[in-house]
Amino acid sequence: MLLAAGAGLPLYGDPTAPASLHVSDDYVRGSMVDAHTPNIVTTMIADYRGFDTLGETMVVFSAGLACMLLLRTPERGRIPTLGRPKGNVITDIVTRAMIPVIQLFALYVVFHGHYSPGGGFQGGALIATTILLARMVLGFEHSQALFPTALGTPLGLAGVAIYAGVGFVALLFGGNALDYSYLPLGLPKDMLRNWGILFVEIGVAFGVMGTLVSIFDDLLTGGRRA
Amino acid sequence: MDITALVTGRWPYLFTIVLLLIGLYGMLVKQNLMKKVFGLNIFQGAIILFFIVHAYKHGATVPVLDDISGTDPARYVNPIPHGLMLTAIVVSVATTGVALALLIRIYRTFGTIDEKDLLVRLRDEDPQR
Amino acid sequence: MTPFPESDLPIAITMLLLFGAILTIAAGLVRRSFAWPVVLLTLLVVLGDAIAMLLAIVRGGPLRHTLGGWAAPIGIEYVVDALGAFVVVVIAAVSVAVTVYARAAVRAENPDQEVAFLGMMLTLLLGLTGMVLTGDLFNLYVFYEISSLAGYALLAIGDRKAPVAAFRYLILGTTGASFYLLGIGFLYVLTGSLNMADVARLLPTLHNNPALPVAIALVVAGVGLKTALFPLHGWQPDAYTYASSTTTAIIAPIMTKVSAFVLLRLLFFVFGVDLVTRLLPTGSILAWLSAAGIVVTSGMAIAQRDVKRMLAYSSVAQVGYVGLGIGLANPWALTGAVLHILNHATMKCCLFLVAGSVALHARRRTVAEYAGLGRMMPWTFASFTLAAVAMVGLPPTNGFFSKWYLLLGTIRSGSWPLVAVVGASSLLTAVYFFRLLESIYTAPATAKPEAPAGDPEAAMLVPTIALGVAVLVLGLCNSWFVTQVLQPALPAAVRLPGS
Repeated sequence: MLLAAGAGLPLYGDPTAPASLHVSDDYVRGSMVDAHTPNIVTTMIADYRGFDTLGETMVVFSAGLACMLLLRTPERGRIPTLGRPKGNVITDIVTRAMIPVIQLFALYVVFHGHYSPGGGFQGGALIATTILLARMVLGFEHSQALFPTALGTPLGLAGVAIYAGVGFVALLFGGNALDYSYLPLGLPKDMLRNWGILFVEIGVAFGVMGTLVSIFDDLLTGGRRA
Repeated sequence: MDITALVTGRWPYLFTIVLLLIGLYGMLVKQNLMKKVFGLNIFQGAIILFFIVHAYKHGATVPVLDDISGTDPARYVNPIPHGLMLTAIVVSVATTGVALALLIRIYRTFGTIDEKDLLVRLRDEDPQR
Repeated sequence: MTPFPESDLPIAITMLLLFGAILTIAAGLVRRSFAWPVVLLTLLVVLGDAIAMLLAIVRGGPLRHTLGGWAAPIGIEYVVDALGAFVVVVIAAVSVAVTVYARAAVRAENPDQEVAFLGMMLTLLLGLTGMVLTGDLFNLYVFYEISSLAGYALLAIGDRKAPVAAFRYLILGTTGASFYLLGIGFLYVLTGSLNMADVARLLPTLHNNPALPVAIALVVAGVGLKTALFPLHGWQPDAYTYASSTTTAIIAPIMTKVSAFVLLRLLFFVFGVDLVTRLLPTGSILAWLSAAGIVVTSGMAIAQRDVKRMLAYSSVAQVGYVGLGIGLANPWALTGAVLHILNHATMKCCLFLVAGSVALHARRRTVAEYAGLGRMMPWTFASFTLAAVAMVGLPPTNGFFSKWYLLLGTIRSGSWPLVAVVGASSLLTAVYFFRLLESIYTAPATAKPEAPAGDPEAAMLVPTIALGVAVLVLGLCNSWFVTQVLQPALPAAVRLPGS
């Protein structure tokens, strides 16, 4: 059945396929003009189709909430092997050295998402990775100093709230929801959208970071507090 | 159905179909619940591949505007599927996370995540079925 | 601040539910008992918004809200017509009823997880309302997944076996969602757009393309799975039976109906009546599968001893009616199908609330154990009786009217087997409900020392009674709904003559 459908699909790599014309062209042409952002994908997901990305942030949030709902119990338990400090000097030192570097890179990815591939999701996931690394190598308890477990859910919530908040502010000031050109910042329209995209990406980064760590912690400890 | 046209002009699509079938096989046939989750991931990956494959244009580059290519759409890979798939990947990750949480719960309650064993234990508990 | 234009009403619903969910969790983290009031407040405001939206649309035509200020098809837009607004009002009203019930029920069944549970409930509603309001195919997918994820988590809380049923649903549900995604992938590749109206405009030029029937099939399969259309319903009976009473009460009436509505939207507004009947006999397939489903699942309902499971099979059968109506695609059948969305929501919600109250308060679960409860819990079972009678389809309850329209629809279609199915199914429904009712009222009650006699507390009782009354009231008022709300919302080709 799928093979039969294949006959109707456009050829691989064809630049005149319908998918590549129509709306797609408008995005390519408009990215710099509308939002002062060369990265077309970023403009697309954070501005033109920003609502989908808000939805996606909601999906991430629901997953974190689901793990919270499913796993957390008031029982107490031990930390499994994965969360115990490995005690190996080499991995210890390498990890400690690498974490700040990765985090710096992650921040770069978030803020430079306008100009190169990157953005909120990628950056947020990277920072979450550093925390997960710390949890696994340095041990669950020691890594609490880096990022306490209790911070995960509120941070995730804050991330979604920032994103939705930006959209809501636009609504308050007379535009449609998520229309960044209505943000009260006193800048020209394309720069407003540029900044709007940045705020939203930061919201996404927080949301993803908080939720990923929250999910990991729930899965690791099985929801039990130590 | 013109097989040659299908293979020469649209061969990445065939890979997509293969992956799709592997994923489905994993989900339906494998008994271990964890393997079903893997199958699901592969299945979703196949669909993501489908979208990305259709974004490609010969001779085009990354969809970040640069001075060389200007704003000619034919010089850039179609950005829409890439953006959409960002969302799809995140959804896939979220679903996997919830699936794993469910598996932990099942394991805690029943001590197994193998479908056959599970059915036996369920039947023992529920005499009315 | 500028005053609110009416076109902001749709997005306000989504925003309210989102901030509501965030606040619920935040409040709950501070103190557990703060969570529930936030939920109730949010849903009451949403209900008000939904009603205002419906009235605005009935007066002035569909509402559009372009998000980000980008007109479709560049941006995403919310498009709400009378039908959509109607479904949102139903969702909001049922959720308010369940929320009142939930306060006591959640505390009895899952006290430790109250905050997360309530937050998850709002997330579910967020996803479902989004599915109804959006006018963009990919946005629909995002909301579909939001509601699904919330559903998986909610359904896993309850009985010991609940996580297993929820896992099965997760695998099947995600597969369905992926089919849908692939389907819209095909559509996108063929048309270059993701906006529903835009795709609808572009499709007729493509009807010779062999990829198109495949796309339609994938999309229908994807949405059909969530609607629990036969034979894609396998996940439902177990899931509903093992979940907690609140979960079943909120998911059963609403989730499958929303998916059915989405199916209707996609088939008639995006693909077009023409395409659906000519290109691929989608209508007939849908109608016949639904008919088969109605008969088979009604039969299975009769065979059940656990009341909740019986109601779960009954739910699949009822959704079959909606599927049948959509498949037949004539004015009467469609009117019946849409009316049934409202009617079944109220009837089933009432029934599941009763089942939950009985399980929690009187600790009884099987048909045999329900004996004699009619006298012990009079108000509860008075509502149950009303809802049961409506399910069978006796006047003047609302169930009668939707079945009547469906019957007219099957007669119009000229297919006598289908007419027989609608008639026979009422008989089958009567069998399993009247058998239960007889046991409830005539048989002597078995005493259970740990279960107190009498109706449950007000928080659980009031919504039950309210829904039972609604069943009657909606039946009496049904002609207002049909003429004022439903008819204007359906495309002109499928309206009843004289409207």
